Amino acid sequence: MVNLVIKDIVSSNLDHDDGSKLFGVISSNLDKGSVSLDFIGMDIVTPSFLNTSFMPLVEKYEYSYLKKHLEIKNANSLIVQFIRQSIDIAIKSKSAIIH
Amino acid sequence: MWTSPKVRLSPPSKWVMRSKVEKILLPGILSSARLESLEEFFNASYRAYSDKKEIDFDFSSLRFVEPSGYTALFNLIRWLRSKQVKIVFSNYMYPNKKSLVYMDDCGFFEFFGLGKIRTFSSPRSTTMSHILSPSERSTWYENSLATWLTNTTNLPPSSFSSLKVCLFELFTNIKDHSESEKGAFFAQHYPQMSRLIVSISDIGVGIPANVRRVLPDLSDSGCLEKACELGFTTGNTRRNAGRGLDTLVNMAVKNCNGTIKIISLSGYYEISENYTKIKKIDLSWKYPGTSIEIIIDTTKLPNEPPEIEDFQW
Repeated sequence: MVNLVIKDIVSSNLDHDDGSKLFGVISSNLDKGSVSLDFIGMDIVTPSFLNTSFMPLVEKYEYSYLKKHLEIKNANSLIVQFIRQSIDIAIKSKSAIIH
Repeated sequence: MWTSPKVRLSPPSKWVMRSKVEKILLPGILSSARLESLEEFFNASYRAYSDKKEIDFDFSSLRFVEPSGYTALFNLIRWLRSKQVKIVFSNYMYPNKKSLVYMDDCGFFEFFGLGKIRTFSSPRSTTMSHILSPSERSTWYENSLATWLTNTTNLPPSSFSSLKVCLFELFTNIKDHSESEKGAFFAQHYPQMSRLIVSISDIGVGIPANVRRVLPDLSDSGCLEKACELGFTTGNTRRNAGRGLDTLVNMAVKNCNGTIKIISLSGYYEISENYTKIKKIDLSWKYPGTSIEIIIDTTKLPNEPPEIEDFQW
């Protein structure tokens, strides 16, 4: 399993560009195997950051695949709340496109 | 009685020839809580701009300034200057007048190149103002604002996590939507009332201008209401998709138990008391851009940092 420490990958502005960059790194590693995504040292995330990182992940991969191969650790309750909301929106959006 | 001289602001890069001077008296109270008091002032300023007149802002009536009013005046003058309007200030150099001393301490006159009313004026421990580009937000927050927030409220930095999300995202919005290069930040803490007022503003195109690209028939206040709805987007790119302004409102109103007031062009939209109180008004004057004000009761902010939580898919 590859361990990705987010604060070592993106800038502290946590904007769209940071999200896109993280998506690229996660995606290239997820294509090869499992990934552990480490939020250590991060106190917040922003909607823009998640819009371009987590939402495209949900669009690209099956939920069951993410559940099996993407581990999220050291995220505080605020970050977890945001990730859940983004994933929910992405799933609804994906479902709407499929149907 | 000694009268302060008229002082011309240092010129913008290009001048437009303006034949006459329009003297505009500032209202007695500068506050967005008194929207009606700003109407005449803003409309007179726009008329002078349209008529290609030089503007003489007269500070003699000004008795009281609130953060929202300070920001409104600050942005109006920034906007007029961006349009190459010649501006003169008169009756402002009174070192014993509280409203002017407040503005002096906030750096208002110094920002516009007029120096200080009092040579020893400096930012108060309860106020914080700064103009910054979106790319500076993280460094500025960590090096300046976080320290100010913790010092002035005696709360730990983690108490402001939700506010930090709001500020970061608002600066992203300025970068993405406003067509304005910089945003203005202003905050004031009222220790006796345990109240923190934070304002982020820009002199950009305004939220209604963006919303009307997809919903052309909405009023300005209707545009603000729409922009705050979950899932509403003005674009079809990934950058615009997902969550946006609704998240900020949620952070301010729910996580911070606060009030959020948005003024953009002629729209006013206010949400408070956990979404039970909503005020939506179409103004008879136009704000030059967007101002978002968050009012927080600091006794309701969390004292402990958010705990690490297991994420279950």
